[in-house]
Amino acid sequence: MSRVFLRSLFVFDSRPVAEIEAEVRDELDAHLAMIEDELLAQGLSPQQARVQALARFGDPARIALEARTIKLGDRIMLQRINLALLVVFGAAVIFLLVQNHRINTRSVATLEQVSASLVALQNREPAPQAAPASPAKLVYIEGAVRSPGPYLIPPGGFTLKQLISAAGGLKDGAQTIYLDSGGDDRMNVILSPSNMEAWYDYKLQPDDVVTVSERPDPRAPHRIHVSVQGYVNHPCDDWIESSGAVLAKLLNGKWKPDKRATRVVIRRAGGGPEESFTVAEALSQQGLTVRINAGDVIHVLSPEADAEVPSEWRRFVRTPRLMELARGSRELMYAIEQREAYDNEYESLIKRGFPIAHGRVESIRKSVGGMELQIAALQVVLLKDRLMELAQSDQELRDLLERRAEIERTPPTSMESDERGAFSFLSRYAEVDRAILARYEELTGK
Amino acid sequence: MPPKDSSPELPPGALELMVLRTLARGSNHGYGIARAIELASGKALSIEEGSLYPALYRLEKRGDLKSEWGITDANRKAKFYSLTPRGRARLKEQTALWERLSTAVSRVLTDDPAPESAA
Repeated sequence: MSRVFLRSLFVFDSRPVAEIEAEVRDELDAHLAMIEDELLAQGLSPQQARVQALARFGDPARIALEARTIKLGDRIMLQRINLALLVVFGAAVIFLLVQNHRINTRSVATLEQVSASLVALQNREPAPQAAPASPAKLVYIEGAVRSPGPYLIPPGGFTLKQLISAAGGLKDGAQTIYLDSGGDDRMNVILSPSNMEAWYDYKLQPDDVVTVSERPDPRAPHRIHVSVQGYVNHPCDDWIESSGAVLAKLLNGKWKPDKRATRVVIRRAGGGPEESFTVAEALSQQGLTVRINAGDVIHVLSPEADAEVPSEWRRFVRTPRLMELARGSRELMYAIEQREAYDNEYESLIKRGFPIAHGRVESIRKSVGGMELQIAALQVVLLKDRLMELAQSDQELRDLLERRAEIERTPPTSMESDERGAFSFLSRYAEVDRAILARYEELTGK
Repeated sequence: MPPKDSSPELPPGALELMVLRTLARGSNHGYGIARAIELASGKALSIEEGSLYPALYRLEKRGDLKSEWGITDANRKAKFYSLTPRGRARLKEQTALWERLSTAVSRVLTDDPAPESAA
């Protein structure tokens, strides 16, 4: 036991705590940045990429906290024990010296006694009661979240938003959030998902209680969660005012059917048969009588447009040259594998048939474009030296590389301010990259 | 609102085992490990990517992994993890354990009696 204990005193990371924490932050940030790169390449705006990257990654603050416990937990305890041992040992030495000096006669017996107690001390299990000096500061979240319970307030404080995401997010049925603050200014706040954004940055006080209810509260404006998929301008899940939850209103508002859309199918959250309408019916007077309830899914379909899908699909082809390049680049290899994963996904979706397939097919089509763009860009980056070399004797390639350099020099401000700008910015790269690769093939093909 | 999470929850130890397996093919960073697991599982398992880090740190602390900062192909700074000999041994041991466990569980699920008791 004591050997293991002593060894662990020397083996652990001896850098300052702040340095270790900063390293964890850097590492998590780098991961988020890589997800964002991937999403940007798929054509998302920087803001969308940021939001989606966080959704995929989870809350970095919560993960950093967990990392701290793993990396530093026993170290902090060991430091305390170390200090305690040092103090005891120092006291013992002084005590021994004094004793020795005063009464030499009893010294042998005392020495044995003290050293025995020193050994006993060193062998003692690291006791948990040696741990925190200040009481833990907790907040509580209960009800319709994935992991309800008490949460420790991290050193930088905890906002309502961070607490909810630490608890795994709201369940889909969440309707009302009660915030009971026991802080200096006691208060009770009732929030619905529609007005809670304004409270997201509220700094929670120790012992605050957040209760998430699946029932609407008459005192809060209430909203319901619905999903509209398929041939609409923006297929997604969202919260809507329950007063406006009528089929015709939704399709005339946030979710406008595409020109190709012909049918609308409602799958009720509570089960039961599908309800089917033509798009014209859904948008007319009849659609005004169709109420939508929380959790319902509305599919806007176009069997005609879907019938055309298979012929348009283009499978990815591995060329020997590309694969040779990919052998030296993990990133390129992943991009290729991911691009091919979309081929597989597409095929399995088509096999499963309509209507589940539909919304996803449209979105993987977009992702495929993004992946191909990324594959081209990676190739250009990897071939950079060779391209520079070839460009010395080829005017066309030189011009293309110059054009690419120009895009690279374009300040990102214009793309950050405008979503459309971001996409055309990336597409501009795509065109130049494709031209560079085509020219490269021509020059080296012979 | 984030989309509904339809991926099954991982049994304890599974994530660490998948991390070890991924790194047996060569050193990699957290993002790369997440992609590899996603691809290898046919997208059936998409983990919350941040949850990899507690697993990585635990493995590193146990001496199964070592890490160093490096530069990715896309010129980003990232921390690369690789297996130590100890980690390799653990992978072998854990894989065997996992296989025994999953065979046993699927046997129970399919009501197919174990060979010994069959005769």
